[in-house]
Amino acid sequence: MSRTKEPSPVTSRSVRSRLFTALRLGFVVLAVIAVLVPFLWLVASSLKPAPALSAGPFEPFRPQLGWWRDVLASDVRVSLVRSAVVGLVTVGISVVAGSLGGYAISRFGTGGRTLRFGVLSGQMIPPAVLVIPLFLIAFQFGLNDSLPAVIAAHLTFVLPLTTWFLIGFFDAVPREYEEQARVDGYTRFQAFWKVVLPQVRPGIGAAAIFGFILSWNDLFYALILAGGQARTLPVAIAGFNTFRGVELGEMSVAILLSAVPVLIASFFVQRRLIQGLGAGGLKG
Amino acid sequence: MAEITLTQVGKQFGDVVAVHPLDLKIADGSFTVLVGPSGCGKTTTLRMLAGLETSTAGTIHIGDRDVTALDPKDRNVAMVFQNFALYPHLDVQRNIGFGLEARRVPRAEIRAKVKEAAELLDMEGLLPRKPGALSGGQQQRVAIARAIVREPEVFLFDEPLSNLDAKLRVETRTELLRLQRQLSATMVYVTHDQEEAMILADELIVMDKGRVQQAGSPIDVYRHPINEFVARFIGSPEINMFDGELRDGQFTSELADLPLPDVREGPVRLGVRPDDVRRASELRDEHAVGHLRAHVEVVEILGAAAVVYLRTGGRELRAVVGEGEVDDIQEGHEIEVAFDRRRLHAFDPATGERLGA
Repeated sequence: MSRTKEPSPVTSRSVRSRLFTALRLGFVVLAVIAVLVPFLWLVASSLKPAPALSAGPFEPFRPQLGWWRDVLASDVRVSLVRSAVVGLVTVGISVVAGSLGGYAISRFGTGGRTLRFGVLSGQMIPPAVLVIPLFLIAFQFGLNDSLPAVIAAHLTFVLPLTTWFLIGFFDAVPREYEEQARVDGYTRFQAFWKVVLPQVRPGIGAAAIFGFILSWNDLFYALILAGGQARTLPVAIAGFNTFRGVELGEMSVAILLSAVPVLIASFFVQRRLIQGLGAGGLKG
Repeated sequence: MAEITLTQVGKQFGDVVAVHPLDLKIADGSFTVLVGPSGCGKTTTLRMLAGLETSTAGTIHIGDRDVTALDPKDRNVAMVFQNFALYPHLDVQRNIGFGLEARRVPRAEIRAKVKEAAELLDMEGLLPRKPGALSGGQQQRVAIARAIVREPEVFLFDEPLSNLDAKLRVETRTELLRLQRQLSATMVYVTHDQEEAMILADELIVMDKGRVQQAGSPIDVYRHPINEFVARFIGSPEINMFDGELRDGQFTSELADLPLPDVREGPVRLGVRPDDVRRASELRDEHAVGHLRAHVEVVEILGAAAVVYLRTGGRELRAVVGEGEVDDIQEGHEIEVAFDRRRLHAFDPATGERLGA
């Protein structure tokens, strides 16, 4: 019967949609491979014995934990703690100062349009230009090769970003919330603390994680301001590139130690960013 | 509860005058409504009462306290905002008790007061919920409950019904009135809706361009509008206005000639409310003036009454007739109408001021 042979519009559409699904799936698979392969490569390198490191990627090898033992016993561990301290202190200061600043810019128009959009203008100065003055200032204060110098340097980019990021979140909180609180018996600051801040909590969370990642990943400032006794993790990683050559095994371990927290944090920042942008306050 | 006195209170934003210095006395236990078009200064006036805007001139007293320089938190007023401003991160219980927390009222007492307010507004079931899970009407009740538990000297409302649908608006309006009588509270209420204003107000304050145009009971303002703005703004459908000349107690215009009290010689704008435009046959002869024949264009039935849009001499004339008269008014026909002479309003076309009594 000819009727059954004719492709109905329904089946042709479902064929097309199936093709589209396949394409999309292919694209996702490619993306996953692009992200995962470098990690797998690193994991493999961290487990390979020395001779296997210089062989091709697909050569079979007998996994060993020597590099991991070496690195975890070395002062890379201390560098990791230093990086965490630098990141946490930088973020702590940025969140407090950034939320107060962002609120002032959002509510009172402090600094006018110039500050609102110019708060990031410092980012246009290349770090290479800033680092020499920072180095000299740190030296004057006797802070060279110390974590406070690195924290100060990181604040130059994390604080403006945090402030800028939070302005939008404060804009989204209706003024009436704090006005209501003020009529109800709270001071301006109490209204900010009890009513406004809770509304921007997702934004603060996202800004904190984002700022931490920026600080955690910084090599340039940390290398120049604290390249000696106060090395952070990225500096320690760079240290495996020695005059004798790159110590691939140890470096792979250190890179994994550095990358995994960022990976986890990125996952959270992504979720909280969406949550933050969707929060926007209760509409009447 | 307390009386509110504003003495020469004004507000300027830079060069822009939002509120010209005004004097107001708001009686203890009264429901006072500030009404006017947007930008008339009503909300600014309310916000100055709350302390959310600082006045740039004059003094504000609540009772015998001078609150002019006080922070909002120290004025002992409660406010309900148009968008309700319920804190999304707190449940209803804490939203209502939030103002008491600020005053360090013991927890058990807060709990009891919140419960009492919730019962008064018939919403105990809502207490554990978050505002996001409430309908507009429920949010409104929470906002009102939050004001009530504070037991403030003055309640301030900034267009609190604008975000509700029509049916709920009517219900809440009545409930608000009932509540005000029950608490015998001093309430100041801002709206742009003249009908809402008329219904709620003990004292109606009509504002325009940053000035109080007229203050009085709704019926007084309706019957004796002090100027053309008030006459047009209060009353729906809008008052009919015709320009003409007044000579020797006789008003002449394109539309109709009629006797008017001899207030002055020269141009006069005559105002006739739609409910004072009547079928000539329905008015007693001694009250009927300005007889004219008009073409019925549209009849809008409202239920108890109907709005009739007439056309005569190329002009529209709005009339309101009772439901009993509607049957023999048909679109496309002509009817004879007249004005009630006891209820005519004469204005100066140049200044808009009322002429005569």
